[in-house]
Amino acid sequence: MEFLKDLIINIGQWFVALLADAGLPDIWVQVITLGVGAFTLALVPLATPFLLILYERKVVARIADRLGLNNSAYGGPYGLLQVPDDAIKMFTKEDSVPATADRWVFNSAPVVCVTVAVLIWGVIPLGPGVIGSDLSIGIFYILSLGAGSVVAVLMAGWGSNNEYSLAAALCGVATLISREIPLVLSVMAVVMVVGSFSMPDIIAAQDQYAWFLFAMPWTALIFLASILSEPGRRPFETVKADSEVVAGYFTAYSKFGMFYLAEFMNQLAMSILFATLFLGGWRGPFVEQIPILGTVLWLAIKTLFVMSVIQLLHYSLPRLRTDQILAVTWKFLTPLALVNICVLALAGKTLPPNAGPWTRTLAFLAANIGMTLVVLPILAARDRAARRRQEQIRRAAQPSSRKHK
Amino acid sequence: MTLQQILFLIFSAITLIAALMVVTRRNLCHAALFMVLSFFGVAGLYVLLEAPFLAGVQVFIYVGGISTLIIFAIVLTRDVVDPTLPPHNRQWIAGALVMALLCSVLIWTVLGYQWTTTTPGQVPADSIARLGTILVDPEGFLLPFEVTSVLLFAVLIGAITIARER
Repeated sequence: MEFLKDLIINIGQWFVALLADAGLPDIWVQVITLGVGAFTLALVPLATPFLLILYERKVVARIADRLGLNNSAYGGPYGLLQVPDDAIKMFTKEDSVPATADRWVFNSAPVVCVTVAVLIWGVIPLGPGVIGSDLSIGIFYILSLGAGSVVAVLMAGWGSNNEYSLAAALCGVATLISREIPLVLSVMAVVMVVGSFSMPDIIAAQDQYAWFLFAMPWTALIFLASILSEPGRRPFETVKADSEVVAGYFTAYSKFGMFYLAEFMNQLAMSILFATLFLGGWRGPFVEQIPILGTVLWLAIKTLFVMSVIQLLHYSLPRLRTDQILAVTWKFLTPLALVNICVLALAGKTLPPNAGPWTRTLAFLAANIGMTLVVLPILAARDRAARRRQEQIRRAAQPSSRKHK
Repeated sequence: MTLQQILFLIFSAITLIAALMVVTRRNLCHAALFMVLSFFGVAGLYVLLEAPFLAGVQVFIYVGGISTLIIFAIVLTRDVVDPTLPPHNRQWIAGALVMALLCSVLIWTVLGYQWTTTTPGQVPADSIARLGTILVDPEGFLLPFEVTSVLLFAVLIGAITIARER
C-alpha cells in the first residue's frame, strides 16, 4: 500500500535508481529520465482519445435519443473496438496531396497542430507533485502556445491552395484571435487573484477561497466561452464547420486523422485546464492520505464533467455565424472581462488580509452579482442601439440598390 | 561540451538558418512561416538564459500577434507567390544603405562590449513578481510603461475610428 500512495513519483524514483545502478553517468541518467518522462506524458493525450471518442459518441447518441455504438461485427461488445477500427482505417487511407497544394506547408500543418496540442500537457499538474515541468510562467506558456495553433490553421488553409480551405481558415483564425482576448483577460483575473502564473500555485490558492468557479463565476463563464472555439465546439465553431465549409481548413486532406486527434486533444486539454483553474484540479477528499486518488479519481471526474458540459453545448446548440461570434467576443465578452478584472481587483483590495475562505468567496461572489446587475443592462442597451442603427442603414441602402438595377 | 552549449547551438542554428530563409525565399508565405520558426528559435534562447517569461512573451506577441497579422496580409494579397516577379523594388538602394548602417553599428557594439565570462548568479524564484513590481514602481520603469500604454491606447482609438461604421 505504501508504494501505491505516491505511485507515479515512486515509479519515477525507481526508474532513476535503476539507471544509476546500471552505472550510467549522472547526465545521461538525467537526460534519459527526462526523455522517458516526456514520452510517457505525451502518450497520455495521444492515447486517451481512444476512450474519450467512444464516450463522446455515446453522449451524442443519448442526446439524439439513439443507442449509439453497440454490438456489431467489427465494433465488438458495446462498440469498444469501433474507435481502434476507425483509427486503423484512418492510417491505411490513401494519402493524397492536391496537385496544386504547397507540399511542405500542406504536410507540416498537421504536425504543427498535434505538436502544439501535446506541448500544452507539459505544465498541467496531474497530481500532487506530478507535473511535467512546474514552469514559473505555467498558464502563460499555455496561452502563448495558442499562437502555434493559429499558425497551424493558416498553414493548412493556405497550403491546400483551395478557396474553400483558405476562406475557412481565415474565418477560423478570425474567431481564434477574437476569443484570445477574453481568454487572456479571464486567465489574467485568476492570475491576479492568485498572484502567480504557476499551475500548482493556482490549485493551492483555491484553498483560500472556494473553488474559483464559485468565487468568480463570471471569470469561469468567460473562460469557458473562449475555450470552445479552439477544439471547434459549438456555438463558437467556425474553425471546422462541417455543414457550411465542408470540413473547414482541412477540407483538402484525405487523411484528416491528425487534425481530428489534435482537436480531441485540445478539447481534453481545455477541459483539464478548466478543471485545474476553476474546480481545484486534483484536490479532493482523501488526497492527503492517498495522493494517487487525485490523479485517477478527482482530476478524471472533474475533467470528464467539464468535457460533458462542452459536449452538451456542442450537440444541443446551433452554430453561430462568424460575424456573430466576432460580435459576441468583441462586444460582449471582452468588455465584460475588462470590467471583471477591475471589479475583482477592487474586491480583493478592500478585503482584510486575514479574511477567511468564506468571507473571501462571499465578497467575490457579491462583486460578481453586482457586476451582473450593472454591466449586463448597459451592454444589452448598447447592443439594441447598435441593431437599431444597422436597421436604419439597411433601410436607407435598400431603395438606392434597387435603382442600380 | 555541456548540454546547455549543445542546446544553444541548436537554437542558434534554427534562428539563423530560418532567418536566412526568410530573406532568400521567393515565396512570401514561406518566408513568413520561416520567420515564425526563427521567432521560436529566439524563444528557445531566452529559455536557455533562464528568462521563461520573455520566451513566453516572444512567442505570444511575435508569433501570435505579428506573424499572424503578416501571414493574414500575405494570404489576402494576390500574386505574392509568383516566382517571376522581381525580388526587390526601387527602394533597394535606400534599404541597403540603412542595412549597412545598422549592421556596422551592431558589429561595432558587439566588438566594443566587455563581455562578462563569469557564471551568472542564480535567477531568483520570484523573478516574474519582481518584473511586475518594477514595471509600476516610480523608481523603476513606471514612466516608460505608462508612455507605452498611452501609445497603445492611442493606436487602439485610431483603429476604432478608422473601422467604425458611419
